[in-house]
Amino acid sequence: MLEVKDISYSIGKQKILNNVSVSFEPGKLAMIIGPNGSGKSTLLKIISNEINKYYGSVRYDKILLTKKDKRTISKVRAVLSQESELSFPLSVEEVVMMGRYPHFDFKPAAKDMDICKQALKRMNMADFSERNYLTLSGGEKQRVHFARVMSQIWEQPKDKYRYFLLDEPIASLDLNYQHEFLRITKEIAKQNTVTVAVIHDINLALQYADSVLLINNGSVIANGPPSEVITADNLFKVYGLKCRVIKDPGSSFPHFVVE
Amino acid sequence: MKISRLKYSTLYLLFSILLVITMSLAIRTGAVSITYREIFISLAKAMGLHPEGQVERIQEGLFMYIRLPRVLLCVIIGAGLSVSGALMQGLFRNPIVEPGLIGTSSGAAFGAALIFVVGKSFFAQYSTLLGTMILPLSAFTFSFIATMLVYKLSSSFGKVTVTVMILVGVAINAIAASCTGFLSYIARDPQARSITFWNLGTFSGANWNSVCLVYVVTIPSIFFVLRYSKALNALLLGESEAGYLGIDTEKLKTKIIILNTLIVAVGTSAVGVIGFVGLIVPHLLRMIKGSDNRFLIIGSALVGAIIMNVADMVSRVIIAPAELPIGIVTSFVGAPVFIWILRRQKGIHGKGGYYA
Repeated sequence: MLEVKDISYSIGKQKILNNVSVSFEPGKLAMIIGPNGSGKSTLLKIISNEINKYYGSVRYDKILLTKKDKRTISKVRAVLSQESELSFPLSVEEVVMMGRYPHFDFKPAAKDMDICKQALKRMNMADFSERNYLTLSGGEKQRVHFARVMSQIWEQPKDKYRYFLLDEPIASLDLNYQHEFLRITKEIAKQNTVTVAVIHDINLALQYADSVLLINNGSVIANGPPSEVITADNLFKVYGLKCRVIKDPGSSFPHFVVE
Repeated sequence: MKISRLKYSTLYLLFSILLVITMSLAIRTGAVSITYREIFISLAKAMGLHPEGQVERIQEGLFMYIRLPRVLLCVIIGAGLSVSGALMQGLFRNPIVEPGLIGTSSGAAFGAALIFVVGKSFFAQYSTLLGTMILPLSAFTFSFIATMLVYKLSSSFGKVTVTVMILVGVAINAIAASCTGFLSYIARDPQARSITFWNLGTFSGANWNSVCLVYVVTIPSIFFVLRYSKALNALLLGESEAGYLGIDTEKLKTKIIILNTLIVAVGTSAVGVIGFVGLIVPHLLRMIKGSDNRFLIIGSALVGAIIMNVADMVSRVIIAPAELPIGIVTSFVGAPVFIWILRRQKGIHGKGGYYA
């Protein structure tokens, strides 16, 4: 269980977030949507403790985030960012192994190596393990990082939940891998993991999210099941666009088109 | 067989063998050459044995009090500067950083010059022990201040932009150099000469005292930074990513900067400013086998020691019987290599610069 309560955050006089309260449950894939500059990425940064000067509270398993030790929490919580700035020659294997860093002190155990292998295999990157990371394409790099964060929270901890936070993770991916990423994310979420993803594509949210948080100007506009949050009214309020719902008889979820 | 396919342990072994070969060559080479037989006999004598055969007193003295400390000092300074280069490159997440570029060396040189000029009269009343410690201490203090200034001034919002960092480094180096220049201006002739030699770097003053001091500081520091190789690897992903992997990046940065400054300052206080070794060695290793910081630190220590010995040999023989300051040799060879690295980098990362 991840509880965010009365979060307010401002840079100078600019209010970025205004009294945001929301809770995320394990087993469900939650998505945060909203226009550029609405505060959704900031909210994720507060949840992931990258920003730590704010009003309000963030609790993991009922314990305040500020009371948690960085290393302890990194064993059960992984964060996937939009892009990584890695610009040194490292092998794909070495990058994925970084995901296991919180779990060992000096040398990786056989278990750690095995997990990395499995994570790479899951991302269809098994043949890439010896490759130089810098020679990969943008999409391949992102798949390596997905394998890295997967290996970080590979094992289910006893009596604890896992946490998986994603900040616009699919921007650099092609259509096939966008869906592959979200399918795997949903799988991870189902295994008792609190999963929160910031995402831009509303149709992908309709297809994959179990719950959607709509944010605008730092305030929560709506929160709930995708079909209740993503409505023509709400989208007009937030994006100023006239949208239409399309029900395709062949699919189980609605689609949105902009008029 | 490709060198990059070799295992880490094989590479370490290879480097160690090369190091022993260069060390014995370096001991033999010079205005007066020493044979292996003379080396063995002198060594055995020093260990309290009574070997067969005779050595000229001059040869023995030359070996025990001039060549051996000099080669040992080369080893440790080369290792220290290269490890420091690897640390700085990891910390700034940029492969073109070295202690000379970011104020560490020039700060240390200023600290040393200060003691040369005003120190003698100021600390004359203190004991000789303090007298030997005061130089490294002053070098450390000023190089730490200079490095921190460069780091703080070039980072904004947790990001260090490399162009800004290099420019700030130029400015801080200029300030330190002008202060050193002022000191040599007001200095009497012998003091000014020692400042000049300082800035060019030389191993000719090597003695057992300086060897002991530098080893006592550098060896533990290198072992200590090895503990942070994993955290430094994670830092390559960026500061926030390293934080998600459970690393306290602020603490890590402070520790690395302190250890690094310690290594560079003590080395610089013993032999003066020697540029470019710290830049090139980690880069060579990265080309051989990637950027794992554990490998970079161990490898830099070994290869740095080899390269420093070779450079010192060159400085001893190139205008024999006179001697060229080693800083001239390393800069003369190092600067073109640095340019080559920059050009090569441009090819790989054509779009925009680095961020750290």
